[in-house]
Amino acid sequence: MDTSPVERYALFAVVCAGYGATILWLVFRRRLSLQSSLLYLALMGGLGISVAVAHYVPSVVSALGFALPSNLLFSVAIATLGFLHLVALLDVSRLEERSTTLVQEVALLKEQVDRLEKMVTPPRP
Amino acid sequence: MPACRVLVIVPCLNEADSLPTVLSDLKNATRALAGEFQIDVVVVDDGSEDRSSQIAVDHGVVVLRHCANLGIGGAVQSGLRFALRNGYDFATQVDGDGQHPPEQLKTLLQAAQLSPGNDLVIGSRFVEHNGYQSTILRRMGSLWLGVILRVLTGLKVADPTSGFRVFGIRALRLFAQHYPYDYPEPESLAIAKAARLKIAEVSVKMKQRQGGSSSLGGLKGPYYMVKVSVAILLAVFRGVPQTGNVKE
Repeated sequence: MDTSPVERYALFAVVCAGYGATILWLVFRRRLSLQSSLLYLALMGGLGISVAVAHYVPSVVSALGFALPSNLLFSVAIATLGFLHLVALLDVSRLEERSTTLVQEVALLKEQVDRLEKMVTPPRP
Repeated sequence: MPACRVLVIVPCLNEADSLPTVLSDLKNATRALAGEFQIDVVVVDDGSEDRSSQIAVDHGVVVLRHCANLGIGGAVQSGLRFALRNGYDFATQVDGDGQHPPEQLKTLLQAAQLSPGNDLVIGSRFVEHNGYQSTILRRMGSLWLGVILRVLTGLKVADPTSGFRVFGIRALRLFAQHYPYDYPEPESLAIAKAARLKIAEVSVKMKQRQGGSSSLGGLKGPYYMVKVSVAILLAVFRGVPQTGNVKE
């Protein structure tokens, strides 16, 4: 039985939609920041839309020089994951810098508080 | 002339075995130098799980407690920030593991004070090859880092891995803001050179660590060499770090 490309990729679209919905739910519950998940949502949206225009996918794939649609998919996936990892590394490095400064400032302020407490607390008889 | 104010920074991580001796020796050394220098001691407890902090408190010195472990660079930088904010003229690092004998402080401080142009004075084991000389692997590593520093920055240092050093006010301002967190000593020299600080080296005698364990065991040694070599290269290409936002 011959199926249309849209029907053939329906399961893939459902998986993308499910993944996108999960990310949205995590953002909604404040487990993920919208800023860090926007790229994921855009990727899922793009892949989902590609199912809606599945009739044109083979011509786009061959125009980009790929033999099979799956090759394009894997290439896009690898490039996107690499980029997402880089963004995550940038975030981690920035947070590391901030947390280091915070730990140092807490230590310095704690020492100041201890010193002031000693000054205002009368010595024990 | 009022005595120079010096802050001795003692970074420590689980050094309860060696810290009492280090602090007692520091007290004696401080007393001996009292006419020339006004010396205070700050112990930076980098997240110890033993009694290090309590021991320091019992010895009556200032204690900065990190609520998380930052590594030796983060600990020293906390001390440098403390020194800068409290108006010290010099800061010096004496490790809590007992490798840096406090009686050698006089040599370092005099080198910093008598040559006012010196921004950073390094206590070196390998100028006159006195005292504990470390293992052959570490000496080879130190030699390699010395060669890299010389080739990339033109700086001639016999002991680039020595943490026994005195920071003058310009070095304090620079490193309070830009001090490497991991294995900071050789990289900090490249940063200092890029910032055109004057670096001097004097011969000191060091001891073997008096307790605790080294952070460079196992595969960390080769990682250290690669990481520090790349870090020096990057420091050279980054150039002079900005120091505009240091809170004094």
